Amino acid sequence: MIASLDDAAVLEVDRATYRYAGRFCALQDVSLAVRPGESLALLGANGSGKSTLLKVLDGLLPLDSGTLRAFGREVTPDLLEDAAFGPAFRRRVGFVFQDADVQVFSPTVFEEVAFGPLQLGIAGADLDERVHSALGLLGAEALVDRTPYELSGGEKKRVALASVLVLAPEVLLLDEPLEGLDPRARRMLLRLLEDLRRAGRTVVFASHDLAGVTDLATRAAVFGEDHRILAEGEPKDLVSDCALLARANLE
Amino acid sequence: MHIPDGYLSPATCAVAGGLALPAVRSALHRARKSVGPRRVSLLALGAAFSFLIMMFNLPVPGGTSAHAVGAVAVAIALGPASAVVCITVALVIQALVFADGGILALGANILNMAVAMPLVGWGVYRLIAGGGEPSSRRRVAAAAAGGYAGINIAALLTGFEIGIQPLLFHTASGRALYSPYDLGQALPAMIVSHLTVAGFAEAAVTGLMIAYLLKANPALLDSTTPHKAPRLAAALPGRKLRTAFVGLGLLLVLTPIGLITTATAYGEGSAKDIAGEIGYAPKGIASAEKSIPRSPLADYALPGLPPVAGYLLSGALGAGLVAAGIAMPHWLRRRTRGTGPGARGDQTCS
Amino acid sequence: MSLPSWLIAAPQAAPLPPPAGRAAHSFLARSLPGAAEALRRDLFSGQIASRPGFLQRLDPRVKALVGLAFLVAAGLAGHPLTLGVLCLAAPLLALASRVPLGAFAARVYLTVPAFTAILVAPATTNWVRAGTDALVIARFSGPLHLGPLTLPDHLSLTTQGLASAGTLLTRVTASVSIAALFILTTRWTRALGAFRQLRVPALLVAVLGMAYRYLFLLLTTATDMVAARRSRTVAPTTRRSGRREGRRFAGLAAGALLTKAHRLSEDVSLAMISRGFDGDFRAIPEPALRAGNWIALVAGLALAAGVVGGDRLLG
Repeated sequence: MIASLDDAAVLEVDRATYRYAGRFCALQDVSLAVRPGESLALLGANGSGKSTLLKVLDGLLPLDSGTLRAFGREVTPDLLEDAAFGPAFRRRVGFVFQDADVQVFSPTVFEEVAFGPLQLGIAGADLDERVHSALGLLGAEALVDRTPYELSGGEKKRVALASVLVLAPEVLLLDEPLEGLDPRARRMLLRLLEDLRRAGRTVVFASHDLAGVTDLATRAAVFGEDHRILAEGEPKDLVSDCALLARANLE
Repeated sequence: MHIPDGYLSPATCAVAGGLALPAVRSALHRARKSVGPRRVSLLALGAAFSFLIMMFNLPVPGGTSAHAVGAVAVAIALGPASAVVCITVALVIQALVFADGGILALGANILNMAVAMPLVGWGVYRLIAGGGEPSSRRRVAAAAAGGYAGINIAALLTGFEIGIQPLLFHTASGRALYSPYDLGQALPAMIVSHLTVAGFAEAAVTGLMIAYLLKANPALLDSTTPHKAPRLAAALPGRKLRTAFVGLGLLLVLTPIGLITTATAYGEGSAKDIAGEIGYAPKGIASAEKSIPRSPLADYALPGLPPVAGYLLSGALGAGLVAAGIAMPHWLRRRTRGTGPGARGDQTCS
Repeated sequence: MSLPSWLIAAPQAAPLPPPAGRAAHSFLARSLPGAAEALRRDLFSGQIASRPGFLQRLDPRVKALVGLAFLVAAGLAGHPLTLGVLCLAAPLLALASRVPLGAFAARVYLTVPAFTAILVAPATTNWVRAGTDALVIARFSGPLHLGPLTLPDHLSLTTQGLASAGTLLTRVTASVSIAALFILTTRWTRALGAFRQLRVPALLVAVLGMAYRYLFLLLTTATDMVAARRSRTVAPTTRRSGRREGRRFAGLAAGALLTKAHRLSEDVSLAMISRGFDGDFRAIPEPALRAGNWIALVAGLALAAGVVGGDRLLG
């Protein structure tokens, strides 16, 4: 077992390889560490592997080879099933999917946001307060009795975000968070993520849109179309490296 | 094929429900244990899918319409136990939200379309597709055959449930309290329309769906074929058992031979037979006979049905009841044998 | 890059052909939008359930239990008067619960009872079952022989037949009314919660809830697929080939739909797992029953029992 890449890493993968359905390569030999309190941007064209990496980091996909470490421990599928480790991990890492439709499946917004806390055992008056507070954070309090799938795209995204934030995760993973948001919503989200980071939480987000990256990220990694990491470093350096961007099909 | 409330007496609904309940519970139990949390969304998908299939009435030559159920397709794609759960859910939604099928009659509808149909259809599929790696053409044909067989079994059961109502439940003046069509009318109506129109529709939908899945997502199908899922292989009947079933089937078909003889077996005569033989009916026998309620399938015959059909029906029913009676304690024993490793102090389905 | 010739050639400004007088699209394309609209209307209209009516105020568990009791009562009743009373009471309850009578009637009378009436019509004749003639429709010279069937020498409506049909029709109507009252005045999510608390297996309730959600998704996807195909139907089809094509499309579309939705369901389950779902649905329980609901429950059950008792008395 190789020693951890970065002892302070809150999440890290080492030489991770993943294939969909056993055949379609999604990640090839990817090593990356997520440091606490940072805002890490995963950049790459569609299909380059950044969404897959996010899912791997959330323990949702078992690696074909390579390891995942979270909070200092190696995470295996078995460990995630463990009655103690599993729920604790889920509480500490939150994932917001690209397609909000996938994430909102409850009949009312209240139940949607309450889903996470309920699974983890919070109930009663605490639950009520938490839900309303989370919705308020996203400016979505008025939607509390609505049916999620009747909402507009932007409203759905807010509800999806609220339903993940309500668990107060330490690490927040977001897949294409700015996609489909109007300018006001974008600003609100950027501000929210910045506030979270300042409060000590870690944010990792995947994007093929370079626009919001320099505003938000403290570090960035670029994926190539061969499903490997091409470069890692300061966002403004990477974003201004035209040759790199062309290679990665980002510009 | 959905039976509304009012066509069946509460007693019939209770009996059908009583038969369906252990099957559904067993299926739920199995579904819970397989593949964990992902199962829920997959099952919901199967249910929604079957619901949509049932919603589409297919035009039929002649101007009327029939509908397919999709139960066998779901059984092949997700496994028979999952199919039971999926179709049950679809039927519940249809009954509650769309009044398509009664609520008391849910027991019967579930028995016909959610239990009998996918299990029989899947069995036929497995029988025809055989062990080992079958060719895609064979699989598609097997799927179509399974769909055809499944929907006809469901139709048979439906016709039977509807048809026995006038016989069992009527007032003294002859007014039928529930369905007014007896077996001689309900059974042929259901069977003929499903042997022809709906049967082929179901076969087509099932076959085409499996054909598509073979091309687009064979991994889904693989999880339900024995050579790739050894656990399932253990659950399927082995060759010896299959031969036994074939033999049983043959015997069943041959039962009407008994009609050739005209005499009654020794010691099995009614008071009338005895009077015919010895000249009088002993008092005890005659009075005992009067106090025994007349069974619906007396002499293995049903009024309104030709004797041969009556025999076949009785044979099938009897064999089925015996098989169920043997299987039931086995099911119960397996369920109570203890919770598996996946159970986190969870309560069973009650 | 230069465009190919077939794309450059200017489209002829030809007049549109005269109408062919029949539908261009298959049953599927035609029935889908209507079905989608019906679903949207029925499944997702929680409006009636949010009105401040009589039934809406009752706890869903009470409604479910009392509703079930009345369904059984409707099933056990034999006398036409009992069934008639049940049929008449339903719209009154609907009124008391601010259920628009139009919606109620459309849902109750125009569905099952309508097709039951058609279905049971032959059973009123002596050809289906012999009985006392109430109204002779036609007389023939002698018994008719149609292959193995022998029909009597006249066609008439029998008293037993009419009585049976009437019984069935009223019973069916009463049952559908009771079910409609429940579903129209209860929000789906609360209904599911009630089932869970009434000991319906958790997995079943969970799947019910999610299937409801998937229905919407599948319908939207199916509608889109059909719309896309529709927009690509550029040549007229014969009626027969159109139907055959329609059936073929139905089968293939079903497969495509399942695959697409399966892929989506993967992400949905991942999203659930990511939020801590471990296979056991924990739903928000309904609060304990208050006095009013207990009274309603007892009264409702007693009333249902009374209906059965009264029916037995009537004979």
